[in-house]
Amino acid sequence: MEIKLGKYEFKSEEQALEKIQDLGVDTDFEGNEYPTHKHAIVLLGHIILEQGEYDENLEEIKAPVLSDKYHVDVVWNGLENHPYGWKTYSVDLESEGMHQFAGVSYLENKM
Amino acid sequence: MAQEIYHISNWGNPTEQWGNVYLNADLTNELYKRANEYENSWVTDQLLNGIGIKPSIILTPTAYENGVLNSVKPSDGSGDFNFNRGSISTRVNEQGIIEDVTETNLPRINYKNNDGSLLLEPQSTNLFLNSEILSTQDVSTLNESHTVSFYGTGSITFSGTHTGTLTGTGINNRVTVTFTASSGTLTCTVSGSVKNAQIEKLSFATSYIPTIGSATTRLTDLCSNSGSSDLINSTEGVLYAEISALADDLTFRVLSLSDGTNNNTVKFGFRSDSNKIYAEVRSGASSQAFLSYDVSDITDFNKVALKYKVNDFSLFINGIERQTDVSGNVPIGLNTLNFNRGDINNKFYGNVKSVAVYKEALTDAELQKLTTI
Repeated sequence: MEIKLGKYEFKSEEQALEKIQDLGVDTDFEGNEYPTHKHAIVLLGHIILEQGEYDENLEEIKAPVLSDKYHVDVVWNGLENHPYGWKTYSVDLESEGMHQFAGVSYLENKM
Repeated sequence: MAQEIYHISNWGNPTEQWGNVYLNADLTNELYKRANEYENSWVTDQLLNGIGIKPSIILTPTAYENGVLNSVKPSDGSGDFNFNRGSISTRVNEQGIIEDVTETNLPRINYKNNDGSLLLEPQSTNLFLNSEILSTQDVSTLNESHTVSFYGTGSITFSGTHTGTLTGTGINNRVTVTFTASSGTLTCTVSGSVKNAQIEKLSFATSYIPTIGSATTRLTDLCSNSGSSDLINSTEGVLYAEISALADDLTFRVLSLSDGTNNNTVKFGFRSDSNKIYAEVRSGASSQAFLSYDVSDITDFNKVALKYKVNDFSLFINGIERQTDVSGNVPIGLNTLNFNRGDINNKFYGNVKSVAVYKEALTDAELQKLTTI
């Protein structure tokens, strides 16, 4: 199946989880929720943009800088375009970014 | 294709030490000849000795190629599994060394204490950067389970969203710790030699995921679509496997015979109860038999066989009949063997030494012999 990679920055975790829920979730007879889609989703959360600095006593010299966005990376299976409601939050990088799927280039497969 | 015509085996005939003198030589040699990658033959011969040649489908951790996991039987490939991961990965090879698996859909035979088994893992992300030789760094955590692992003699001291220390025990030993972090920044201060380090949002450690300048995700192992209605009998039979769980993480993980849905299935595996192996037969979307047994540890290998026949179901584990059910119908239209419940969900994550499918209900004596450790 053809794959495409997407990187997204949502306003919050709640918004990201809502978008993921919209991709399809069902509940089986045992009460377990399971996705009805075949996409691979990685919740990266508020990624670290700049590492902090610490002295030898672990005292913080400079605080790490975290993104105020909630980051999600996705391997889309069999989709040519962003699903409804996702495109607004997609980012188009000119590098592989802060996260990658092992052995799969974002730049060569980005949506 | 592999270079030798016959594989070398230490099993069967200590004088000859060749597989062609062994009872199942035809099977393993056929497998050898058609396989791109072939290994672990000694273990396979032992497994086949226990399983015999009666099953219609036999899987052992032996032969594979990119996108395919080869079954020993049938030798025409109709019992082979489709294999998909979609990302590169690593495994521990026969020499005990971590080795890159550079083809994205190559199955992995993973070794522990010189014992090879098929490794099926969930998706996981290593959040550490430059993991081969770890240096002090911050990691963004969520309010959920995280597991840190590494090889070496150094230590990692955690502060921020979790406090504690993980100390290494040797260059060839992997140490792990699992904890629930809060949301925020986890500072990991490294002292000494910390190699092949990993922090992942799971309650257990998975195979090593190397990283350089970014966090990296290994995708889910998917192994499915073996068999056909010619190889699987809907009216009676036995599903057998020697399996262990990656962890007692209270999730549903099963392998099954099915019609491609969860409506008609013969399945067993692990569930949301600690250290329990369960089995279920479903026909027409309703449960016909539900059997279970508490084992001492699902992360140890257990030999499990589920016999199904109208009004005659039994679960054998490690040589003993653990539970029976004498009322129920059989499924309709069984035609596929999968490492899931039939409809891609409840994927089996764990280690697999063997799987066998019998088209007839074996006797209690045969099931006892089959599952005896």
